[in-house]
Amino acid sequence: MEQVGLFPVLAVSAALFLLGVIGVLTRRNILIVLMSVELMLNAVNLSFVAFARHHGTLDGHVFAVFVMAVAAAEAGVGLALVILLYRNRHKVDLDDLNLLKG
Amino acid sequence: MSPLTPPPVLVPEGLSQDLAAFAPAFVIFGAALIILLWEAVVRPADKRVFMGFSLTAILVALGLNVGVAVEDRLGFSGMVSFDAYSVFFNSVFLISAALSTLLSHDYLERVGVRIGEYYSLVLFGLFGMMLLGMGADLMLLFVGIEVMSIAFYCLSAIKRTDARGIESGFKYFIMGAFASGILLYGVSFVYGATGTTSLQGIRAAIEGGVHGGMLGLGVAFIIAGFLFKIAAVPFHMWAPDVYEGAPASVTGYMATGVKAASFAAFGRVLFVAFLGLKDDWAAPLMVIAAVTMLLGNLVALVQDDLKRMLAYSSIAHAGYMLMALVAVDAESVGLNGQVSGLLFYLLAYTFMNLGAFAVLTLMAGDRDDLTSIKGLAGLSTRNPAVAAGLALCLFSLAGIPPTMGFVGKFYLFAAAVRADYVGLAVIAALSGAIGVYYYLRPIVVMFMQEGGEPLSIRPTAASVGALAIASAAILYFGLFPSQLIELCQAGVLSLVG
Repeated sequence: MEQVGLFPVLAVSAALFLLGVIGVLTRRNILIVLMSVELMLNAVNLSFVAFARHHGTLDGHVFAVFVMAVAAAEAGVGLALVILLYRNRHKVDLDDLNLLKG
Repeated sequence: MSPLTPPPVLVPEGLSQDLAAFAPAFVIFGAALIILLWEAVVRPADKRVFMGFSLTAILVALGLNVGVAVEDRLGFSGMVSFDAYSVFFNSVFLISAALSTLLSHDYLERVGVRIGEYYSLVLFGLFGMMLLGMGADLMLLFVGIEVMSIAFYCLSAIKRTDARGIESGFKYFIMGAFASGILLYGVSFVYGATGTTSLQGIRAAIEGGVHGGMLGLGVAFIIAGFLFKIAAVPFHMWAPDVYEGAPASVTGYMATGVKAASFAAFGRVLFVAFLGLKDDWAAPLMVIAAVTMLLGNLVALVQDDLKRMLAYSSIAHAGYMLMALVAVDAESVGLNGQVSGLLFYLLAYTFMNLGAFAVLTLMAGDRDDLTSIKGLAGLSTRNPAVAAGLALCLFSLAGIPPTMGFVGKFYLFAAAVRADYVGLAVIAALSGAIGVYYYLRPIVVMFMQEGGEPLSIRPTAASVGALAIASAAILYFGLFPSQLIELCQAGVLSLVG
């Protein structure tokens, strides 16, 4: 079976990461921003796994599992915060986060 | 052999020593779990027991950390590094957590947060910091950052009815998760270029001639991720909002503990893994250090709110500390002389900032944090002891002798001059002079103005105790810094080994 090389996988990973970054920076809906952050983390996982196969070591696979576990914990806390926000203001939009001015 | 015989258990070499050296972190983690169960099962009405229990656990861990001599070694298959550097930073985190716990209970009662899990989150955050101080592998450092950060996302929003607290927690969460993503992407590139995530392994690979765009990109992303965590310009914009919105006791802990932990990991990554690339990262970091301290001090000038002023001043202090990371020679001798100033300054900052936040928790009204500088008017006649303590902390933050902050600043500036970064030292001194103005303003208000409508300040034993401990440490180490400086130097020496 023909194997996919390292660089096509890295290119997909970079594209996903970039999409995630753009999503975080431009979208105003909080849920979509959360999804974009998850997209960034999954792009990182792809890149770790690709490098792990390239090097023939297990470190990258293990790292990807750690990232998934942490992402799950983060999503839990993040969604809890979204619910708190919604109870407080009945809206989930980044533009409404304006009580504190930076 | 019968088929039911279990396979022999393989005990890794040195496991018992590893476990003994890791004991302080175990104590903290165990105590956090116990509080979680305790609150869920018993739900005691008076949350003071949790404060006592947390403090006991922290003091036991501090005793184990300082008292049990550990030889320099890598434990747990090279994941964790036990050395003077980690012992020093663990002590800083434990002191920061102890002081924050001490000033938490009465403040939380006053603002109406009666949640026992608060103390468990404080300890989980502390556990994450300790992983950051000890981690010798990017994998463990990542886990440490997340354990710490997730605890702080929850702590910032712990007051569930307070819209500002929730907003602060959410902003911190989005920014923190974004920064973690960038840091991780950098880690994956460094892993791709060197084939390892261990800091020693990366160093060996770089010395063995690994170079190129992928490694450079990875290092840049990792540095950007850390700059987010320490709130350096241009990644600082979350800090003032988060610091202002979070409860005062959390902000004090965040500004000292999280900053110290991020610097501990940042320093270890830069000096153990990436020292060979120093010529590439020193120049950009120097510019960032200069801009960070100027911007932090200039914006702090125009703040009328004490909490927000301290948030911007915290950005400025991150700039001073970055200076220590930059002002380093690639040779280990230079490393010792210059970087030890960072360790000293972080401990000094922990004492002086938490001292100031102890007063902020006293200023809190029944509902919200009322922390305007004007509210301090006439404090010196109503509560001379509290006013004197706050004045001492602010003097120390401004870097006026004979305080610990002065010794720390002197040490940092001298290191920068010795490493031929005279321009950076001049910028630091100038922005420090700006700082003196806004630190003195609350003191003038406290001692020379009679209040129109003074805030009600009701000192409580625990918070005043925290302020007293911080003030005593600021004065003692300001007058007799030599022993502490030796400890800092031993810490840095153990890093380069």
